[in-house]
Amino acid sequence: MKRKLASILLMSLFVFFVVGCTRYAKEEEIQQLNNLKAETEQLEKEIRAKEQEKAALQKEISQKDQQLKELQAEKEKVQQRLQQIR
Amino acid sequence: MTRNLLTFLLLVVFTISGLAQERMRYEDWQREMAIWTAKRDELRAKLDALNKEIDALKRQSAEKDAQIKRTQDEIYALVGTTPEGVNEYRRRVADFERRLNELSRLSNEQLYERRDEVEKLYNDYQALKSDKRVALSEFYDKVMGFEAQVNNLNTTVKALVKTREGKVIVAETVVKEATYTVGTWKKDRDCLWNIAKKPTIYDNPFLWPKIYVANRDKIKDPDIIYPGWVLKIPTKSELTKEEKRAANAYYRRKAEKQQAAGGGM
Repeated sequence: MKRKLASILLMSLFVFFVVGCTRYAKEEEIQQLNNLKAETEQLEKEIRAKEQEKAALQKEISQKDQQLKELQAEKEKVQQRLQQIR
Repeated sequence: MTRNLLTFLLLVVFTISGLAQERMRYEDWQREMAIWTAKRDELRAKLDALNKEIDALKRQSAEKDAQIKRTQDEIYALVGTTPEGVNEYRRRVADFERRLNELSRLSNEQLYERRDEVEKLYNDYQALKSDKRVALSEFYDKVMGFEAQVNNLNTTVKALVKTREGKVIVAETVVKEATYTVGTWKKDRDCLWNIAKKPTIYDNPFLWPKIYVANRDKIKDPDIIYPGWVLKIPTKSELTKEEKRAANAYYRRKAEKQQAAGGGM
């Protein structure tokens, strides 16, 4: 019985020693990590919004290209018709 | 007593090790910080690149707007107008179309009464057509498409005459361009041969099969036409195969009849 008690005591001492000697992150450091994670999340959100904005702009530009092409074709047609009318 | 002490010690050990597990070890914190910092830096760089791309796209879009405006202005310059001028012409075309449709629905009597309006419409059409703005696609096909309707209306109105009885009729001079009303044999000597021979029709009697084929719904036998029939007169041209076939069939039948009549005598 005494031997059992002694071994448990030893084990407890070992645990106290291990726990006591390990270095843990401080509250501020944990907060710093959390802030970093929040900033990353915020950046991801911003990137998603910017990607949407970029896609919308690309679509707008391609529509304008099409409009420009139509206008150039219209200009040629108008020139031809004016020659016919004269 | 000893057992109680043992239980207590075990409890303390488990609690301490449990609490220790919940806390983050410094090395783990350092590793996590490194990972998240790298991720943040990567995202910041990506955001910067995106912002630059967006700025470039905005500039490109503004350039396109300028090009569009420039081309539009060039088109307007070609036809000597402005956006306001286009609006004004659009209103004129719409008003013209409304009047044209209204007059086209009228009977000959009503048209005769409103012949001044038709004349004005015709003149307005000439003005619309000679306006440079007609060259714009928005108007070109539409305005040019009015031509046949306007000319038709104008020709009809010009051909309308009022009889002594007050009845409005289409003058024959116009009708005979496309049709011919059969007169009597006694007075007009009208038969397909003679009709085709008239200078106002074909001036060539051999073209009679054209009238025959064009009026098959009425003419069953080319030798028999009745006064009052309005015959369609196709435009003058050489006989088609069908017309030649019809003429040959007629001559064959006629020869057979004559032979039969001669044999019987």
